[in-house]
Amino acid sequence: MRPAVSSSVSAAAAPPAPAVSEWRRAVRYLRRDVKVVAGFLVLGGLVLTALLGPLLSPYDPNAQAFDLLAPPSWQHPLGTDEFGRDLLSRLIAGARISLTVGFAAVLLAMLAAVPLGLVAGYYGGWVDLLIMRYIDLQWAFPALIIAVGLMAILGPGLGNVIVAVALAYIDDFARLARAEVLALREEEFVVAARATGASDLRLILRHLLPNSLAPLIVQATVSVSYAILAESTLSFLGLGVKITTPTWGLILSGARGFFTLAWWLAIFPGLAIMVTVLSINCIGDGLRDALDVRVSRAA
Amino acid sequence: MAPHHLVDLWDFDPRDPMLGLTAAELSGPPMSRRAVLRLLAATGLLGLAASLPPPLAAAGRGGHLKAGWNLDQFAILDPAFINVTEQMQAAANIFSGLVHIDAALTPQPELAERWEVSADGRQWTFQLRRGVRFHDGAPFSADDVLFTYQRTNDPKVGSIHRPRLANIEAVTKLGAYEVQFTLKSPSAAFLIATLSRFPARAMTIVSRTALEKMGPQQYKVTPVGTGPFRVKEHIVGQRLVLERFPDYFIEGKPKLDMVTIVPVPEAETAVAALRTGEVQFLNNVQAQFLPLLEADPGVTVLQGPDPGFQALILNQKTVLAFRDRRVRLAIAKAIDRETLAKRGYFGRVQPDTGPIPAAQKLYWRPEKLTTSPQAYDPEAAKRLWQEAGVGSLKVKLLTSVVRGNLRGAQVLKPLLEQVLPITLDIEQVDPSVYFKRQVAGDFETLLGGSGADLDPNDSIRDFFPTGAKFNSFGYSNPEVDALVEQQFRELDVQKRIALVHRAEDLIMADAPMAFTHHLIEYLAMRKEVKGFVFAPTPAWDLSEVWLA
Amino acid sequence: MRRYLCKRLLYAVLVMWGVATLVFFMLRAIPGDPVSVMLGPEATPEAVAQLRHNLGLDRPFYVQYVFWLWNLGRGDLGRSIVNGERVLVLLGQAAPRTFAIAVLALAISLAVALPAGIVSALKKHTFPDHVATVVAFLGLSMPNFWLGIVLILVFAVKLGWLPALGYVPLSEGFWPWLRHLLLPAFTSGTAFAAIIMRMTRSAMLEVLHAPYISTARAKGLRERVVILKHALKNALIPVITVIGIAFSLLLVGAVVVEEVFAIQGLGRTLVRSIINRDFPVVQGAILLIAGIFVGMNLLVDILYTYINPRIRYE
Repeated sequence: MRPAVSSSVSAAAAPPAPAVSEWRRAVRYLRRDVKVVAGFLVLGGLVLTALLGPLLSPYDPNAQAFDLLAPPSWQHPLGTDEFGRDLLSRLIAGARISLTVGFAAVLLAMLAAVPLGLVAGYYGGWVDLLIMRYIDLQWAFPALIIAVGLMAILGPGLGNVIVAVALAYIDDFARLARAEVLALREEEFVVAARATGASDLRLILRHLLPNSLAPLIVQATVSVSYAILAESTLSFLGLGVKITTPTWGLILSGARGFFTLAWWLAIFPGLAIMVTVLSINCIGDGLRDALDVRVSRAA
Repeated sequence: MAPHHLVDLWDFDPRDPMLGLTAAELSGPPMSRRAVLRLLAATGLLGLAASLPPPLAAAGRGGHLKAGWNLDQFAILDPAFINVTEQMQAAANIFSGLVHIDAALTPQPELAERWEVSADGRQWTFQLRRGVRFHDGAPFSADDVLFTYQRTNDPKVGSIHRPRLANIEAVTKLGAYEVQFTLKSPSAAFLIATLSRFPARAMTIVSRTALEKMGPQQYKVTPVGTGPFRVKEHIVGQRLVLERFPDYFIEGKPKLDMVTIVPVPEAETAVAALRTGEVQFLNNVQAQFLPLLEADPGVTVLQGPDPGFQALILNQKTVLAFRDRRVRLAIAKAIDRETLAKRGYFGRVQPDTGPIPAAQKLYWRPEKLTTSPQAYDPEAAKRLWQEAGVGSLKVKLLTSVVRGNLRGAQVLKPLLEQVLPITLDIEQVDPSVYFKRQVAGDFETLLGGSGADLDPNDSIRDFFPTGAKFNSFGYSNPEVDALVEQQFRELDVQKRIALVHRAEDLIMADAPMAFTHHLIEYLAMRKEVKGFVFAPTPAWDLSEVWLA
Repeated sequence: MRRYLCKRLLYAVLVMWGVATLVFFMLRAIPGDPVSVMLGPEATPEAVAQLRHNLGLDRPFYVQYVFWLWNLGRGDLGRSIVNGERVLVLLGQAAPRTFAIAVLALAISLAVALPAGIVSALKKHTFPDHVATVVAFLGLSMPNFWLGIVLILVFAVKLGWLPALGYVPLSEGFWPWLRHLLLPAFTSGTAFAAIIMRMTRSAMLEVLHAPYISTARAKGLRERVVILKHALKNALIPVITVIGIAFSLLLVGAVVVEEVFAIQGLGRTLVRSIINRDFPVVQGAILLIAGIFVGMNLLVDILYTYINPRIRYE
C-alpha cells in the first residue's frame, strides 16, 4: 500500500539552517491554506473521537446483542454487522486503533531509520556501504510484500502490525536522511562547526538533523497516511490485527461475504479510512508547500 | 425410512462376521435388496439411505455445464492424496473404481462386472470389464488393479489412504480380466470402505502409464483415469475443464459434452455468479445467502444432513483444569447452542450435544439437545464451576481460516464468557501451522470436529477411546474404551444401537469436548440443470446431468 | 555507458541473489509445514514424514539451498508442494493477468490524468483545477480494496454491467477479456492517476514559467503550439520517469486488487503461498517480483539519460 513515493523527497537547493523565522513563516503560510485548516479540523475531530471513544460510543463495540445485518436505523445509525454488533460503535473504537498504528509505526520507522541514514551519510565508507546494501535489498521489494511476509512470521496482533509496517518503511526514511546529510555535509556551516572541533555526535544532532527535518516531517506525514492504509490492507488480507480487535480494515475484511446483503458494511468503514487519510494528506500537502520541500511523488 | 422396512435387516446371526449375508448374497451384481440394506447398516450408511432419490425424468443430452466450486483451488486430484470432500466431488467424474456407490447407496458394478465371494468370506474374486480404456488410450486390465493396490500400499508413495488396505492379505491376478483379493478377516464393509470409487479412494484405479509419463506431481494436476470425463485443461486456481470421454465404457454416458469447474473462493461472488447464470451449479452455499437463493425462481437449492459433528475440544494434556470433569461439563453446559446456531450460522446448522449426527439415522436421538448432561443450563454450569474451585481461567482457542471456525470462535467466546469466569483468547494461525498443531495435540482448546462420518465408528471410535486416531486431547475412560470396542464387534443392529447410545451418554457426561452442532450441506443449481441427483456420498456424479 | 550498464546489471543480479537467499532461509525458519497443508486433516505421521523425505524437506537447510540454487541455475524453479504444478507454469499463468491489469490501469490513468493535469495547470486556481485537485486527493486517500468493493457493488451487483470477478484469457475474445479487467484496472489505477495528475500539473506549471516559453510566446506562436509543442514536451520528462517506476508499484498493488476480484495473479499467488508455506512458489514469485522491480529501476535510469541528455552515468 504505497501508491508511490519514497526516497524522492528532497530539499530544494539545500537550505541553510532555517532560522526560527522561517518556521514561523511556514506556520503563517499554513494558516492561510484552506485544505490544511480543514485537514487539521478533521484530524483533530478524529483524535478527539479516538481519545473519548468509550464516552461517545452508543453501545459496547463488542456486544453481539442485536439483529444480524440490520440496516441503518435510529437505534443503529450505521446499522449492525454480521455478528449483530453496532457498526457505529465499532467504527469509533476503530479510530483509536487506526490512528495509533499510523503514528506509532511512523515514529518507530523514523527512530530506526533516521539514525541509520544520518550515520551512513555522515561517515560514508564501509558503514555507508553496509547500510545502503541493506536498504537496497529492501528497496528491491514493495513495502506491502515485506509487511505481508513479516506478518506471516510474527502472527496477527496490533503490536506486530506496527512493527511490520515500521520495518517496511525503514528504507524510505533512511534514504531520505542520508541524502540530506550528503547534501549538507559540505555546507559551510557544517565545515565551520567541524573546524571548531565539534564532536561527530554533536555535529549530527545539532547541525545535520535539524537541517534535515523539513523533508523528514513532510515524508512522515505522508507515511502516516500510508501506514493507516497499510494496516487496513493487512487486516483486510487477514494478516493484520487479531480478529477481536475492531479496526476499520478488519471490519471491512470481516464483512466480506456480506456486502451484497448489507451495503452499509462495505461503505462506512471505507469512508472512515478515506476521511482520515484525506485529512492527513491535506496537511502533508500544505506542509510541503509551506516548508518549500519539493516532493516528486513516486520514484 | 420407516422402521418396518428394516425388519429383514435384523434377522441375522450376530456371531457371523458377514452379517448373516451368504457369500452368494454378497456377490454381485445385482445384490439383493436385503444384502444391500444390510451392507449399509454394517457401514452405518443406512441412515443416509433415508433420502432415496426420486426416479429420474426422461433425459436429454449435450451441453456445456459451467460449475462453481466454493474453494481456492483444486489442489489435488490424485485419489491417493485427495483429502477434502470438494476434491472428491470433482474427481469422481474423472476416475472409476471397481465398484461405485450410487445415489441410492447401492454398490454398482463399475470396472468390475461381477464378483464372487468365497464361503469363508475372505476371497473376493472380480471379473473385470473388457474393452475399457484410460483417457490416454491405454487399455485397462487386471494389471492396473494390481498397480493401484501396490501404489497406494507403498509406504514410499506416502498415500494417506494406506491404512484402508490393512485388512488385505494379497491381491492376485488370475487372468487378464480376473483379480482376487484375499482378506485377513472377513469384512462385509470391504466393498464400500475399500473398493468404492469414492469415498474409499484407496483402490480408485489410476493409470500407470500416465503416472510414469508425467510423474506423481503432475498427476495431481492433470490426472488420467477411466471415468466419464477426461481432463482437457487444468489451470490451477483458475479452472478445471473436463470434456466428454468418447470411449467411456458405459454407452450413452456422459450426457454433457463439457464441464468447466471454476474455483470461486468468495462466497459472495459465487452466489452472484449463480444468480446471473455465469455458473449453473454451485457445490456449496454459505448460510447467509440461502434465503436469497431459495427465493430465486431460477435456482434450486438441495440440502442434506452432513455426517459429522462440531465441538469445542478441551485439551486435558495442556490445561490442568480440564482434567477435572466438572470444569469440562460446566463449559459444555454454559454454551447456549440455539443462540450459537442462530448468530454464528444463521440457524442453518443442527444444534446438538453429542457426536452422533442426524445423518446416522438409526443412531440419532433428537432429544439429546435437551436431555443430555451437556444440555444448556447456565445455573448448573456456574454451580459445577464453583464446586471445582478453579476461580477464573484463561485459555487459548486455536483457530485458522479453515472451515469457517474463525466465525464460530467469535460467537462462542462471548457466549461462554458471559456465563463462566473464563477467558477465551483466540489464537489465529495459518493452516500450515493449524493442521500440524491439531494432529500433535499442541493446543489448549479448538473448535473442531469430524466429517464424512458414515458410521458410529467414525464418530466415536476414531475420537474417544484412549489413544484413538484423533484423540490428541488426552481423554481416557476405560468404560468408554470397552463399550466402543463392544459396539464395534456387535453385529446385531438393535444391540449395537443400545451400545452406541450408552457410549455416547458416557462421552457426553465426561465432556472431553463441548459438543455444539452438526452441519447441514447445501448446494444450488439453476433450473436448466437436469438429471443431477444429490448423493449423500461425496462422489457427485455429473455423467447423468444434461442441460435443458 | 556500457561499463555503467554492466555494473548495474551485476549489481541487480547480486541484489536478487541476496533477496532469494534471505527469503529461502526465512521461510524455513518460521513455523508451519507445507506438507501438512497438502495432506490435510487425514494425514498420518508416517505419510507426512515420507512426503517430507520425498520432497527433500528433511535435508539440512544448506543442502536444500544448494540444490535449489543448482536447479535455479538450470532454469528449474521446482514444483508447488501443495498442488504439484510446476512453479514456472503457475507464475506463467499468473503473471500475464497481473501485467494485463497493470497495463490497462496505466492506460486508463494516463488517459485521465495527463489531460486533467494539463488543464489544471493552464487554468490554475479555477473551478476545473479545484475539482481535479479534490478528485486527485480522494483517489490518493481511498484504500484500493475498498474502491474495488464499491465498484463491484455498483457496476456488478446494482447495475449488472460488468462481471464481479474472475479473469478470462484473451484467447476467449477481446471483449470478455476487457470486461473482466475493467473494474480491477480502474481500481488499481486510481491512486496512480492521482499521482500522475499532480505531477503533470506541477511540471507544467514550472515549465510554463520558463524563459523559453515566454520567448516562444513573444515570437507570436499560437498558444496551442506553445503548449503542445514546447511546454508539454519538457513537462513530460519527469512524468515519464515516474511512470516507469510506478509501473512496478502497480504490479504490487495488484496483491490487494486480485484478492478483491478473485483473480489468480502474481499477488494472490504469492500471498496464498506464504500462508500455505508453499516454499517453491514463494521463492519463485519473490524472485520474479524482485526482478521486475530491479529491472524497472534500471530501465528508468537508462531511459532518463535518453530523455534528459544532461545526465550522464559514470
